[in-house]
Amino acid sequence: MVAGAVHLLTRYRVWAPRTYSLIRIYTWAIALPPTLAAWVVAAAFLPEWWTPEIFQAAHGTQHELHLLGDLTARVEPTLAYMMLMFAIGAAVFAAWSGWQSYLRVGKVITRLQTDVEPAQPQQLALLNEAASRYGLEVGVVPSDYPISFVWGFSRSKLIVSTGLLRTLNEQELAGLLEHEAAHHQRRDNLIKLALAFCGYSSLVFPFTRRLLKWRAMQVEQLCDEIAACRTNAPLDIASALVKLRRRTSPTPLAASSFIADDSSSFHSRVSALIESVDRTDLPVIPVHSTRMARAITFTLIFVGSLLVTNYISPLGFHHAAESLIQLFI
Amino acid sequence: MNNSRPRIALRGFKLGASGTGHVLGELETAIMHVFWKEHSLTVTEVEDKLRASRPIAHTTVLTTLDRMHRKGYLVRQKQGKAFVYSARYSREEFERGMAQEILGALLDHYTAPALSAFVDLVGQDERTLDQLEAMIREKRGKRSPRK
Repeated sequence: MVAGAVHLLTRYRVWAPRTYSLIRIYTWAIALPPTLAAWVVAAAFLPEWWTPEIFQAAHGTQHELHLLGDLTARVEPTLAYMMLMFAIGAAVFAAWSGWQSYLRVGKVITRLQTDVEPAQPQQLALLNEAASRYGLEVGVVPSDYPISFVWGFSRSKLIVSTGLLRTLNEQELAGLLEHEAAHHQRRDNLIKLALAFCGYSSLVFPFTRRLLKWRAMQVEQLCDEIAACRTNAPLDIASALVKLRRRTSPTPLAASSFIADDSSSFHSRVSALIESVDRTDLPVIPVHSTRMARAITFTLIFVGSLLVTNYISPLGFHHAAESLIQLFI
Repeated sequence: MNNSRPRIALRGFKLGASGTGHVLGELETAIMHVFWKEHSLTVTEVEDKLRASRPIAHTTVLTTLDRMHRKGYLVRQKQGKAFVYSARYSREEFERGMAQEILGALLDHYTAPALSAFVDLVGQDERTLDQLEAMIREKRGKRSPRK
């Protein structure tokens, strides 16, 4: 709800937070509900294994297998195992769909070859120079269609087509390469995969899909900002976007709210780049963020809070979960 | 050739092929190549062109041309008793349409986790693109009036 409200406020320009902040809001909105659910389940389960004496003294042997309370005694083990299977299923599905997507892109792109003129040597040199600077592997697809994307999760590859190299001039290409390098440095595909898992395991899956889309739009805008900051040429990036859009969609497609939404996002991306020319205080956006440190901190907080809670009040969350369930049944 | 965007059916997409062979059969590919060299041909003329490289029955050419017309890859006009066929899309239009269909399916509107694309593949009004281009030109002009 918060993310939805934020989206509306920003869409109608009532509130204009920084792109980075918006991405954080959407990321938390996707990741927080399943994380909290996992924490509550873990906190309710933990005493059974960690302090079995206290647990049995409080409940007696009859309660040994029960998680939530006497009223749900018959279904509890089943319910708990179903929840566990659901979480495992969501993880497997996220990993499988991510892997399938990776393979599918690879198979199609490597064979999407048509008879076209080879790329200009100076453009290939620029491409190789940018790739080696950021430790990216590069694949050039001999296709007339302009293609550019970062593909893969940990060791990303930059895929561009000869059609794209012919469409853009050197400055525009430099801007595009910085944009793609920003994706690579931010490990955007890997984060998307992790968030897709959170989305699949969420009970409000259709809404998390929408959140993922909103977040992806903001990530594109952030990478534009990073590229503009590095090249100091936002207009070249804006020009590259317009040129490529013109070549990728020669005619307008049938209108629908979803497409209209994307079209407005494209417009806002280009407009933001044009407006950024007048800004003298272009923010330096940290790309080499401390993601690993953050992940470790997050895990420590998750596990630490579980252990502390269980130490201070071993059955506190277990009883709270039981009471909550009994309220609803 | 044709101003509309080619709709290329991806059903039966052949991974092992290259170029137009991804979506067309071997004979269909050969026929498209004939039409991209010569503008308009009758069934007999197509048959003669194909016979230079392979033995082929008249009925096979006839049914293949008819099928390709129904699929929307060829257009035909009746001249006297015979149909005169021609390619609906130029080779560039066809290959671009095929690439767009494939990538559109892959990108799955932002949510495909394996890739991050620079430009998504949804439509944009030509007029909007013209306006954006004008804005960029204007801004460039203000920034460096000599350019």
